[in-house]
Amino acid sequence: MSENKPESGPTVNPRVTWEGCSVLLDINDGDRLVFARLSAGSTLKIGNKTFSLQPLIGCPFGSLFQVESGKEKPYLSRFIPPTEENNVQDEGGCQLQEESRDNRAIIDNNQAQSLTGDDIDAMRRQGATGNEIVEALIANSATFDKKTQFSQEKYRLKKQKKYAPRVLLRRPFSRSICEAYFKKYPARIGFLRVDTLSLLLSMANVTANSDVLVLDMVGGLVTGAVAERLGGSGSVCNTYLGGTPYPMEIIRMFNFNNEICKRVLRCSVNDLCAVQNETSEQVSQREDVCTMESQSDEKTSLSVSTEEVHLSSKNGFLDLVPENELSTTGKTCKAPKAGEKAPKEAIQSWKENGFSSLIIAAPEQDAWILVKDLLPLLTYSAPFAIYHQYLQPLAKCMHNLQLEKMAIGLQLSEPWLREYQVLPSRTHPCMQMSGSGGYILSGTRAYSNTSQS
Amino acid sequence: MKISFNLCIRDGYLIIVYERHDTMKAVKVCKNSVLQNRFSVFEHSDWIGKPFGSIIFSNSGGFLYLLALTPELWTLVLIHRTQILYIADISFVIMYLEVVPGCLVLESGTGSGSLTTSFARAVEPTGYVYTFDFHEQRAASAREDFEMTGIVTMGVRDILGEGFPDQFSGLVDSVFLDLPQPWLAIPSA
Repeated sequence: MSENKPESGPTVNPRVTWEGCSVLLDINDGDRLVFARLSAGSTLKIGNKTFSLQPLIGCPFGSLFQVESGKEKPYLSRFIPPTEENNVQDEGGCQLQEESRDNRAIIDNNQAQSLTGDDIDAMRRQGATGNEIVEALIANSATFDKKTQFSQEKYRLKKQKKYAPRVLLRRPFSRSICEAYFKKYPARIGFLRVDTLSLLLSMANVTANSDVLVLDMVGGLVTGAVAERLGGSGSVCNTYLGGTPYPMEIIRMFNFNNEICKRVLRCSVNDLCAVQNETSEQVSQREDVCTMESQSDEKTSLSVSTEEVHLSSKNGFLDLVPENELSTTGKTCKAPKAGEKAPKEAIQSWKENGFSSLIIAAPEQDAWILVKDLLPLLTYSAPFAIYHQYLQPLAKCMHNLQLEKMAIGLQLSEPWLREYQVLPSRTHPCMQMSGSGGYILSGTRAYSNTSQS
Repeated sequence: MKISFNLCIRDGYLIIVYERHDTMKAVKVCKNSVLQNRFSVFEHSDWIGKPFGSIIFSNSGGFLYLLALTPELWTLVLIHRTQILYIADISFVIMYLEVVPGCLVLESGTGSGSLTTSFARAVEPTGYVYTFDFHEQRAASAREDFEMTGIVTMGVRDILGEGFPDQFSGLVDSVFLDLPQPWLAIPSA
């Protein structure tokens, strides 16, 4: 079957990093997540040292890097862990048989470790690897042998994280991006958890060749996830109320190629609902009026977007003027731009055929007001999914949809996700669990004689 | 089949007939057939030419909605030959396996084909789904279902015993295992 696989494989689903791509760096197994754009000059700070990210370019995603002491300064080198499965299995066998130690004799008085900080620095200067330092610490610990097996492993891991940190090169995908943002800046994505996002995509039947209407006030995460699932066919219309589009900077993390970027288009709700006979002048006039009116309302979204511009990478992204196709990119980074203004033909085609599904992710807006305007743009029998952080607005929306008989198969869901630590004899849920990932209202648009587009 | 305002129900289409949120059925539209339920008799010929999402009333006041087929609705109406996965788990699996159009996905076991249909939707139009089940009869029923709904290649093979076929070595993007002893299949995967 390899002949049938399209040769554009590398660009559709790349497995190796390239200059200018964005990556997710997972430091010490999930302790810290950092988004970065790989270029000759980019760097990463771990602890109090800075490392160049140059060695990461051209490596497959999923590679592990460890800090090595170089001649002048430490650097990151690719690290291939030895096949440890056999060792772990043997250990597992031993554990179950005997464990007579416990911690009754261990006193925490900060005197168990005989190596001092200066000793460790000296070792580093002599070129000892991280692992060697860890072994030395273990050898010089008075209480190490008194610890239980589990406790020894925990100790070793802790020291390894500090003296021999590892960096995992992860591919940015809707799942990893959503997880990272949910952990670090959940407010920016409206507390949209990964399983909630996946439910949104499934319930709205996002598939190739469909035209999806998205109202995305969570930084572009939902738009990006939808574009990913479309894979370069169909289109995503990112719509917005008033005259100013919502910020969409998370899309740049996805590493979309040109084909996919072309499919992400923006259009205001006014343009979509406008009567066909109106000229473009009238439409833009109306937009200006709306912009002035909604300036005060949009203060929240504007302030959020300036914050993001400050924190975003060197590209200086400014999407408030969609006509501007050539952004001021750095010479090394050539990220294609998504989110161009929708051309007239596209708007016409959407009006004729209707959108094939609708996703709304607007955690601070009233759901019913949005749905009222956007649902008529959907073709009949099209599924839709609405995300909100709280239940009440969705309940009200569901009630109104039922009264107006606009939709059927309505369902209000609350997704639930619990993480487990899985280790022999130590499998249990993690100590901290996310309390709420939001709620989703889903349904299918019903045909009604009164609503003619 | 992309739904749009201009697409109407035609003879031969597979559609979903919705009575209530928990009473739905997949029906193949056939000019001369009828659908009978506790309300009354509905002639298929009444449906032909109507847009999707229409409501059909019967003489005795009962009604039906006619909906386009989506994998989510299919999961709710398909005939269970084994325990199936529902949308909450299906959506999670597809997200975690990072399945996008163009991927090559291997799956074992097929069961009733609920997850398989969703995979097929996720990888179209350029990807492929190869699914395996060691039970001949279920594999045959699943094959029939897939011919009705989408693009999937169905194979009969005992993955636990024999492993995945070698032709896939190095080419596959994602593997999904739903087996009684998945650890035995891991070396092959």
